[in-house]
Amino acid sequence: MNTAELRDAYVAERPRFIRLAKAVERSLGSALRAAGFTQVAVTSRAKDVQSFVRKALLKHYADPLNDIQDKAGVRAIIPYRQYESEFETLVQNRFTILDRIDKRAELSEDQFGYMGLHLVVAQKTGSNAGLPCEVQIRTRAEDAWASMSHAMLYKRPDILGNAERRQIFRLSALAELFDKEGDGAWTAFHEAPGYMAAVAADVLERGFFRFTGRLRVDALTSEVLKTVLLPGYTIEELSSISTLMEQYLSENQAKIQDVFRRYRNDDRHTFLQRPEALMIFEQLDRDPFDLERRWRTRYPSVDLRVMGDVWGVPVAVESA
Amino acid sequence: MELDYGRLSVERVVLHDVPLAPLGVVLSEGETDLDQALANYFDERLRMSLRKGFDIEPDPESASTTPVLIRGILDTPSELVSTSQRLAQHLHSVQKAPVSPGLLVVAVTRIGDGRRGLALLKLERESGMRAERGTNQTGERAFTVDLIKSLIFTDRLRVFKAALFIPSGTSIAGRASDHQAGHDVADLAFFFLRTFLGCRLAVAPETATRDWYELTESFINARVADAVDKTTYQLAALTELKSNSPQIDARQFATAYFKTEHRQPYLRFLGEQGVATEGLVKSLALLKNATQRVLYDFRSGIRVLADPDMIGPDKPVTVEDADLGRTKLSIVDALNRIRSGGR
Repeated sequence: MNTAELRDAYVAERPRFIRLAKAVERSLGSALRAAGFTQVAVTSRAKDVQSFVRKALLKHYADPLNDIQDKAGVRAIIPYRQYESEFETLVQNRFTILDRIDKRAELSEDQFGYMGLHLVVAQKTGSNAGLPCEVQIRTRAEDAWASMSHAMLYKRPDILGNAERRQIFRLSALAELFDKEGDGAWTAFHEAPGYMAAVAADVLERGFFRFTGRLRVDALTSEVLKTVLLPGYTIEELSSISTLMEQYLSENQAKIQDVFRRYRNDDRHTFLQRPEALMIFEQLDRDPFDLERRWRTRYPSVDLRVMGDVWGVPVAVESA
Repeated sequence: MELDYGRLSVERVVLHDVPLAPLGVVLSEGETDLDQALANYFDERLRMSLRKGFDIEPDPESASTTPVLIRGILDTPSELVSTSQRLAQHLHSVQKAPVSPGLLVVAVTRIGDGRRGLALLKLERESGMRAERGTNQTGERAFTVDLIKSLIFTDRLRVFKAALFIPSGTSIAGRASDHQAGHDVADLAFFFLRTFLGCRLAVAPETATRDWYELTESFINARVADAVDKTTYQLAALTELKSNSPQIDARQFATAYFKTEHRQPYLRFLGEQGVATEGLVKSLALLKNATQRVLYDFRSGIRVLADPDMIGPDKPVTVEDADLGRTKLSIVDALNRIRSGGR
């Protein structure tokens, strides 16, 4: 097949790869949303005709139409390296993995360069099943370095001299350092004592604003969450507290809306104006006894009893 | 009556002053102006009262006109004021000392899912709110109600009696409570319930008590693993049956005797079986023998029958958890006699 025939064949095939890339992007986007990965950006493209022909010629493929694996490509930019293995699992759950290329493994200890993880995947069903699509997983720092170096090192390798090329590779060390430090900070942040309360407060605030604008947040919110409410969940529940609360709010939306409508101009009950009210309702429905046991160690039982009266769940107060 | 009490909200209210005769009843000619805070206040009082209440139904043998009047308001809410006046006059005619006089609140309530109910509350005056006769916004003579917010938190307003009714077929179904009844359940049964409301308990006390006891026993046997807990709970259920209290409140019972982890599963279990978790009038008519003996029935076929008063720490019969899911029952007592079976 000469170059013109190769070009024509790819032009004819390319719409199929556009559809495949879009389908993989949509599928991963939906899986990411379901898993609560809100900070991963996913984009897709089909290799443009010029790049395809150029790659076929430069790399001397025997059968470029079949051998080039990135005709359909999806790129996922992850904020931290820690996200990588979870994201890979998520890809494995949705697609058949045809190939796994870890660019880090291709670098020796004295080399710096691109460190992304590439998975060649195929849909398990449908008209494009079996057709390869390359999913590139990179951190933000890797992406910044790769975008710059791609234009200067990969596409036009003959323009720069050794000194300038070394200049660009030095930056890849910086990107690696950035990720390493970022991961350290990420771990410290997630292991800090106030982290879970902060996450929960954020989830509750977001939920609270769906129902009312009369939000009151201060140090008490964090204190109630840390000392009374969060200890009511298992470690597994805490790790998906956002999903758990979202599901509860969606199942009880009409009732919660009704309560906040009725108490819009009634400020007698302190906890009803605070985001933790939503978690109090959830735990009143789940196990009011256990909540009361934790509550009375820190706060007057009457405050919880009032919330029970508002929500319609009796709170039996046990003498201390 | 299955209701989500959190969805209950008072929409329209009429108040009448119902003193004891010979003082005459003072009737409102219109509805009380109701702002949302006052409506919330009534909602909360109603929920607090009804959670200690009993399911009720119209008594076909009662001559009371109340069920028909209530159904009338439920069918034709525009007649709230005039029909509530008849309810107040009926209450005035039947209440006699020592029944306390008070304000009768007749309230149309939303109960969720677009359904409506009718609530009756009998309140003590001048506790948490001030009710004065005046005119409402449309110029009709009516009680005006000011909420004294600082008093609400003191929880001083007393709801003597409360009832909530919803349509049921061509009749009504409801839930009622009487906080004046105290230890004299007859007060609930015969004055408020039968004479005024013209209703009766939806489940006969002897049936409700037997169901509660049998289901409590089922829960203990099926869901409580620890032998000591089993014994403690079983003896607690017997104590509850034998106590002087005329009522059983499963929620309070669980709070008093069960470990925290068993309480909510217990209430959920009772709820799933359709047994009231808050209010139940006690009658031992169907359980006379249940309080006499406790039976320990072992997998090996061994059975031990003991007086409940003889079981517990420092008593002749003690129970401990043993390994492999087994139970150690110890009897330390003077042996009177021994005999073989079958004679």
